[in-house]
Amino acid sequence: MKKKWMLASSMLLLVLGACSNEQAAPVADFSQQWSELTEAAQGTTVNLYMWGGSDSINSYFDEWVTPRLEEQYDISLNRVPVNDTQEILTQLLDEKTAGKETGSIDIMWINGENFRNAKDNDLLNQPFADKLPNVADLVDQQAPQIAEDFGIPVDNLQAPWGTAQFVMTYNSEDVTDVPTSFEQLAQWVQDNPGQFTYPALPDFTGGAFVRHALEEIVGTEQFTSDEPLERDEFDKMMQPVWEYLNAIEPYLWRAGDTYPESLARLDQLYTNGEVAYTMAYDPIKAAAEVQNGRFPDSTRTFIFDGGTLSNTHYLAIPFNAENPLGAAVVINELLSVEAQAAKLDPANWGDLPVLDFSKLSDEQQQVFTAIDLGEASLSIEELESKRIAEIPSIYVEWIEEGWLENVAQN
Amino acid sequence: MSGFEIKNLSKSYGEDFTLAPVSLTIQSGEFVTLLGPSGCGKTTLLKLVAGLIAPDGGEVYQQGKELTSVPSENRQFAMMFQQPHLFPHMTIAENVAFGLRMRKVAKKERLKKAEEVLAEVGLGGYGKRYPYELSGGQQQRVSLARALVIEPTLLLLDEPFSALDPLLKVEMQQLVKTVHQQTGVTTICVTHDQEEAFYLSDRIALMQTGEVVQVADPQTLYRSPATLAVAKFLGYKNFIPVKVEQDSIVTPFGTYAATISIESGKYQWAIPSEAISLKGSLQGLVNEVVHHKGYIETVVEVEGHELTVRKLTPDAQALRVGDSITIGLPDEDLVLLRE
Amino acid sequence: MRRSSFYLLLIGLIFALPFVPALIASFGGVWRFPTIIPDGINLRAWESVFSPSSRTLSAIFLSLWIAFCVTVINLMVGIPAAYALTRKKLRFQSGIEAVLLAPIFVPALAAVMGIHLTFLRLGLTETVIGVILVHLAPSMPYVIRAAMISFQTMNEEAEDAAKMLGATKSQRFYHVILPHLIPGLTAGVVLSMLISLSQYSVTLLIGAGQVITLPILFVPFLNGGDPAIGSAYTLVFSAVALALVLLLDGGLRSYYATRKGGCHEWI
Repeated sequence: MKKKWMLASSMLLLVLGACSNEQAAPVADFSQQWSELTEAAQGTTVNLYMWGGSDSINSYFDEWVTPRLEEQYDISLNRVPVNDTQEILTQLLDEKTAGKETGSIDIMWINGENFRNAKDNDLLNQPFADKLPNVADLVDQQAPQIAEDFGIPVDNLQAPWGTAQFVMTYNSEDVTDVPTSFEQLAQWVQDNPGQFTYPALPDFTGGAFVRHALEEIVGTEQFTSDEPLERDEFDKMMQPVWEYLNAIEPYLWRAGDTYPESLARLDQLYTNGEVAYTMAYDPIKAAAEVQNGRFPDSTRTFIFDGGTLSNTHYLAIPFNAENPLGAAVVINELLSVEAQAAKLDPANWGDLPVLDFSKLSDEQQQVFTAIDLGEASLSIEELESKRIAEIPSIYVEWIEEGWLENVAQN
Repeated sequence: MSGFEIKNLSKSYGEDFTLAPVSLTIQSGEFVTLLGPSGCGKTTLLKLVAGLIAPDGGEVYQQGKELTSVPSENRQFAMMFQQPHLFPHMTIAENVAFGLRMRKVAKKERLKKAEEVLAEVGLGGYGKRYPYELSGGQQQRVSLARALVIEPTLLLLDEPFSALDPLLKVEMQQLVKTVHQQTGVTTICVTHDQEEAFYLSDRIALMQTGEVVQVADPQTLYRSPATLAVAKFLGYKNFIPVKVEQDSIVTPFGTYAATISIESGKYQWAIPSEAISLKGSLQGLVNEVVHHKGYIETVVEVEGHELTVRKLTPDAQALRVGDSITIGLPDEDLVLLRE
Repeated sequence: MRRSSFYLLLIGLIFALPFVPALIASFGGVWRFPTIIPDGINLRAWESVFSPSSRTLSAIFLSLWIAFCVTVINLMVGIPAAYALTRKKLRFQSGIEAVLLAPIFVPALAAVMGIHLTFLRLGLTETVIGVILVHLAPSMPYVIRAAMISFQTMNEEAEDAAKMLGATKSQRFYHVILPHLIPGLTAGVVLSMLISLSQYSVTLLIGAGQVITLPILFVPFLNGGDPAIGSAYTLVFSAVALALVLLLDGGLRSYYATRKGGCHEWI
């Protein structure tokens, strides 16, 4: 009796193995006529994998994007909430190893370190970005910020979607003399101890804060990817930065004994009034949070005199997407003027557009300038005028390690 | 042939315990008790007959048909255990009807039969209650009813009363005897309680250390124990060494003539305590007087041997330690046992 | 107030206490010390959690369905396993036991990362069945242990009694063994369901984002994205879990309502 059972179950496993879902991936021909491509994608479903932890981003999609796609292209968009993009990459990596030719991910939201990983491991589909009409017409593809992602050439493997720019957020009731440089900041914290802090590295935004210190105190011309620095050279160059951060430490929140472990924690401290500042890679975020009641109405933002880091975030199509043509149509639509403007509106999301204003007609430009960015936000012109590029991501890692060693453990 | 036959049934559990091949024939309608001290193998034997344990060797027959390989649930036997083992989530009537349910008897009919049998065991009208509402003794009655309702060909009892207090025990024993007389069901009972065995049985199979030592009806068993060990187990206290020479039995108290021929040699003469009278020709000295409930045991020294005499209280009332008395010993049907 | 009800209330309060901040946070608003109640209370988080596009309801049903299937399989495999482990003398007894109970000590994700490739090759990823299978490992040991303990406290003679009355193996299981097992098993069943409900990483890995259970929906909110929504989901999840436990407990009580003596053997 037992033997029969074992025989039956092993046969079942064999049958399951034989029946695995191994259809060959459709060879994505992105260079066909756009109208043909759109037609081919009609009636299909596209799976979009992106971070699911923001109610406003989710609503932007569920309430604006999805109905529009349904209406205009008869495409059904399935938004899958992800916690950490690395989890997606792990899934793709295993799928590649197992030879799975059609996977569940059609579009993924990606940039920086994750893009580098995906590119290195051949997890992406064929180059497609330049084939999208809206990219060709509306985006400045040569702009270094768009052609390179944290120093890595994009090669049209991912399409630019939005722009992030680092801004400092403060409560105008508590901060009257706004420090717009690190020099001024050092003075401010001395005069007002316990009101400022930054997220502990390796939080990405905390790391960005340190990278701005690096920019002002040392300068980043030497931090390139063509002639990468040796580790000891790097460490030597970082010394003044560590000195600065250690010097201000005693005047920080809780005298620097502990740092908030994430940007979310820092936001919480700001909301509770424990500190007077927070920071973000999203220049419209402050306005959006004021609108939904999390941040006080007196919230404002500023950027450093030397400019702040700005980077592009992208949408990519994995190597084994089941519906790459549908993905292309969706991504293209997300780059339309209407979609980018809706995305900018703090009532929806508040993410900066990636379009080149010089390529837009007057009417198209009006669509953007008509949007009320909220009192807390700086104007797009001001933001654009003070942008600096990110340094290659390998240094990002080294800075994280360096901070832990030189500042946190002191 | 009728009834049950146990042929060479044996079972061993490693070095710890062995049931030597046992053969026994039980007549239809007989009440047989397996009697013996703990560990003698009586329960093992019972379970072998029930089919709950598989034998190492031997067979069980019922009316000529071999049952050894038939699983217990198909044997048409019924069994009562020390614990009632009633199903806690069923009513009393459902409990009793369970065996009929297993035999696919219709609900109405089996519940009716259950009520009837409950009345027979003195629990008429209790059908709708649940086990937890009944006392231990009542639960055992239900257990008996549950066994009887299926009209088994063989009733097996595994020390069913040993957990009950004395009064209740007697009540249950009487109930079982009555039921047996009324239904005539063949019964095998296992017990270590000698009173019980003697009261209930047509025949007793006495067991010691994995062997059936003697099988006889109670009176014969008591009057003629087969071995010294049996006699001791049955409560004999007096063993006098005697010598048999050419049809005369030489005892310390005198010589008797043998009425049947016996082999010469040394024997132990086993004298039942109650067979010794307090009037006779032998002189004795009272060494000890012990009062029990309803009887008195007196230890009397006669000719250098100590004899225990048991008398019902009124008879032995007057004796005291140090008294000189006369006693009389039986002179017929002497029980002579080899060493 | 009677002593026992007082203590009961106290214990209830202690358990309910951690949910109070979550409840308050779920109503959003700016909550600055030292105010006890935040300003600007709104229902934004709750509206979002229960909006049609949030998929909250379908996620709840799917999570419950998966937990149910997982538990049923656990029972079907676990009870015989426990029976064999407690009643029969198996050759590699302690070895088998160690393997079956190991998931209690090994983190689910560690084990599942290894099996991901196999599941991919078998085509089990992106499927509800795959997710159910992968939930078995962390939850089954609890069912097995609960059954083992129940079996160990059981008197085999009760089965003999049923046997003599003509009950076949399956009838003995239904009438004697199962009623005895049920109280102890209930604990195992509850644990099994809760463990399945709260799985995240393994559901994400094997389900590949196509199996949307409740944790898949709300974990991204927990890591800071939105404390109000995170709190609201936490309360929803806890409510589902609590409802489940109460349901099972209530079911157990009604089963035993007329069988107060339970399975206690006399003497």
